[in-house]
Amino acid sequence: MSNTLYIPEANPIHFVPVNPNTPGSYATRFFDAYVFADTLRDFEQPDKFFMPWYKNDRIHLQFQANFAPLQLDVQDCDLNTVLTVTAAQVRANRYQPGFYIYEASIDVSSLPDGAFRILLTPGEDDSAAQKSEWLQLSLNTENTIFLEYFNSRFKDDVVYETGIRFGLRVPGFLQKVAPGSVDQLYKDQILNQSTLSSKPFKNWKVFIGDGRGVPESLIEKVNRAYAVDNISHDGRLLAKADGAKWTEATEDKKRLVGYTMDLVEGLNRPSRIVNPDLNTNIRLIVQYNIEAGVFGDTSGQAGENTVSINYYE
Amino acid sequence: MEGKPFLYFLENELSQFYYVDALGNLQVSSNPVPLTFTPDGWQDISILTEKNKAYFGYDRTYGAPQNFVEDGARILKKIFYGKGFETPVYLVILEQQLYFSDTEYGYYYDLLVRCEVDLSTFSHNGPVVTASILDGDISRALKANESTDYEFDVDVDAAKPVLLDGLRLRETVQAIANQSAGISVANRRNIIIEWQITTTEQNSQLGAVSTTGVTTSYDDDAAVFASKRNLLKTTVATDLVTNWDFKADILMRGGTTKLFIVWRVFTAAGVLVNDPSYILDTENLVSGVSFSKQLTGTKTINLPANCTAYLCAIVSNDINSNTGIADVTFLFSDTTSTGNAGDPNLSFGYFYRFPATTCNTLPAAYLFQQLVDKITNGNYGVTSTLLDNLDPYVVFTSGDGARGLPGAKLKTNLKQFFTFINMRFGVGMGVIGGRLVLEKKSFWTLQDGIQVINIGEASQLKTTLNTDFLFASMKIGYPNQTYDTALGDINGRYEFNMTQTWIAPVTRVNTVLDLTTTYRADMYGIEYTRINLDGKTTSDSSSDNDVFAIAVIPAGPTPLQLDRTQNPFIVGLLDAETAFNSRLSPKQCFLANADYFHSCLDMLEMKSMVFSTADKDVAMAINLPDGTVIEERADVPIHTMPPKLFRPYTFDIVIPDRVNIFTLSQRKKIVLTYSQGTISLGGFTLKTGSQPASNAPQNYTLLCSADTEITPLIDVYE
Repeated sequence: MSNTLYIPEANPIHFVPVNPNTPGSYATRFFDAYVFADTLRDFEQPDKFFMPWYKNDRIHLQFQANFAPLQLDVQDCDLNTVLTVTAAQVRANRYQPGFYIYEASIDVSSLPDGAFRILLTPGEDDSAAQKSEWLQLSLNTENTIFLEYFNSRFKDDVVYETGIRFGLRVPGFLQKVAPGSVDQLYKDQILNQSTLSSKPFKNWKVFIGDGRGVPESLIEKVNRAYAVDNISHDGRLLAKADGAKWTEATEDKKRLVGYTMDLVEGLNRPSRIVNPDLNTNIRLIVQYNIEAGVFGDTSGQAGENTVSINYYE
Repeated sequence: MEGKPFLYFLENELSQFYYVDALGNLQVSSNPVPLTFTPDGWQDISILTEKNKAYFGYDRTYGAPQNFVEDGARILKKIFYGKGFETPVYLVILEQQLYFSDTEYGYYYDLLVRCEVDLSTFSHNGPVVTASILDGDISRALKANESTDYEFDVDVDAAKPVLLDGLRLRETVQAIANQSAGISVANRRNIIIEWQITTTEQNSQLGAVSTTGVTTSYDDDAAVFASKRNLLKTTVATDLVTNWDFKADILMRGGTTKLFIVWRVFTAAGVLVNDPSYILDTENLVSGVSFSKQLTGTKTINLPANCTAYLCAIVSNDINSNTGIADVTFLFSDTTSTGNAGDPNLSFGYFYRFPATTCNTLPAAYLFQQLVDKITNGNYGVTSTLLDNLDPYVVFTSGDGARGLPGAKLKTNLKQFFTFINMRFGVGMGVIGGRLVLEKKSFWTLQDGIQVINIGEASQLKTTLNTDFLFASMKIGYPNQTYDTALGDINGRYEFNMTQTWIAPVTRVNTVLDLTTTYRADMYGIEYTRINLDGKTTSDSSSDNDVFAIAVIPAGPTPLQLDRTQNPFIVGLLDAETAFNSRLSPKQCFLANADYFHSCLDMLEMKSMVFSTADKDVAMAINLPDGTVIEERADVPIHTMPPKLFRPYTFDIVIPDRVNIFTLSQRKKIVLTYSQGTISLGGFTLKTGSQPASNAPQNYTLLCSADTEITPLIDVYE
């Protein structure tokens, strides 16, 4: 099989081809093929977007590929490489020999403040290189939310079982809204009412985009982040409220859009738990012990055979 | 890379996969070929799993998409229009899983659902073909055919020949001296007294017989043997207990001599077995003196096998020679010492043992696989470490098999088989990994604190007492038998493998827990079947189709020997030495299920399961060397029972369905917390629903685990 690289959408960095090679007959510039600045239409206001990035935030990435190396170069605004990281092979695919999970953890704390982008060069083939949106590196976290997210099992081409936890910093803020509760009430014979049980909970609203808005590529990343079963917002576990959907806040002729969505507590605790030695703001990780004998093959005859199926996505 | 979460296949009954080739033709392949077009509504797959009350395993009900499009529709159309609606078609759904280790990973698919497409509901509407889905899992075949009887040849390579070397039957005879007038005996030594047998408990063919003719004297021992007027014929060496109580009136007309009342015993060749112990009574007779005496006594002697025995009076100074013989007149009358005439005044008891025969039997593991093969057309395998290592090792045969008839068949069904195995071993049966698994109940309620499925915090807890597990009384054992004359009724009241009834200390329900089996394990029944129909190859018997369970020693010489390992420690039977199937006794079946009883009788440890009644009053007890006493009719205090498997409470909860927990294990305990982690609960799945495609929250019903402390629930108000 020729060199193939899978870049899961759940990664916090949005990569697009350095050379999109879009045929001249196609006019549409899809956001997942071009960086934001290259997708602006003539009638739209010129704009730029820089992903805010705190210097102490590590950039965790995961790929799957059947070749090596996967080199990640951090380039400054003059396209000079200031940092190079090679993704490490962390697991080999037992069913597709040659395929590996690659992971990289990029530490940008030593870099000066400023704009940077990441260049992903797969193997020796520069024509397949991928570049990221521009990142604005600083020690300023004002009006940003750091989303940390992972799923309890593999999902959307990411093998979370390796222990990888993604982090994505987005412009935005959280706002507390009116609290709620689930109540069970009781009226006696003369209609004196009392509460038998009541479970109060906090309601939140997340604003993505701060005052300017964000491009499509970033809200897609954020939407992916909310698709997993563990997501924290600046360290607090919050989850989508029942029926929550993104609401857009747009301005005419502006491509950057603001978004809001209702959230509830992911950990609705009756107490604040204080323990200086522990992170008390995380959820118990569920451990499933799997028994090999429970599986059968397609004929139902044998217990533990692996069914090899070739498929294409 | 990761691919579809589910793959769909259509396959035939041979597990070959249907697909449509580039020309639109229907093809089959042994290699999995998934449908290119997933059936419409794929996200509606649902699995409802419920514990089967009869089998203690699980039933599954599937809700699967029914609208096939493109290649799926074309395959079904090709089959329906070309092959007919009876053509078996199966829909197979695989769910994606991840292999993950320290060094490797990989996506693979494992079986989620295999169900049958019911082409009788075929509906072709433009591009869509709709057909109902039947539960194609083995559980559907079980439901449909669990009570269908199947025939199995007993004479197969897998059969285990078993030596049926018989049970010593205690036969007894009562007789009266049948002499109305005195008989003059002139100078003859041996007198055969004529006895008229009044009642017998013996086999009609062999054993004791009435002497014929009248009391007669013979010159010597050879003449006695030649008379063929033996009272008894033995087949095995036996003790012979003789009780006598008759009156002897003897007129001496000359000489002085002795009177011996003696068993004269001869080998089959007519050789006298001259054993002084055979003398029952000795009296001195004086010339000219009338002798009138009530002769009374009891004595046990030992007789060799295959001998004939004659009860004689001998008049001689020497029992073996004609010295001092006299001219006398005898009158042996039926007057007993209590003065009653006509009452039996002779009784004797002895053992009778039918010659050994060999019968073919089917091992439990083999019979289980054969039953499942019949039910599923050979599509499913079985797994049972219990049956593979059965202790006691039970084999099965039919009445015809026990008779040794060629071509004998065993007729049974899976439900009957399970009922027996459950009664004796306390088992559950369910489907794991496409195989039917039969193991002890403890297997299905894994008492492990580490191998658990931790689902974290649950919500909407509701606790109830599960009355399905309560019972007021319990029946256990085998069909009661009345050994009528045709079967022979000797000793039959000492049969212990009958139905027992027990009373539980539960008054809130009137449920009877019925653990009785239709299989038989009565040793007398097996023995009578062998004896009464010996050599009769065309005779019909009500027991011909009965299934007999026999406990044997699995290792050792062929044919296998009956399991008599407990016999040295048995009391309360007529002949403990040759008894068999004691290890299948109702009480031992009871004890095999005691962990289940204990589980059902929660917080009743101060009370007992009380023996109520049994069909026959056999007070068998087994005093094992390790101090264990197994007394058939003794009550069982509940606190002495083995540890519980569960407690009879159910927890209804709602949990997030992150994964299909049930595919992970049917056995492991699910542990959860409630009320913000302040209460820990554990339980085994009773009922669960799952929608793998959506991971929607699901309602679970759990059976409380044995180690769950329920008193903290007092403080639950939410």
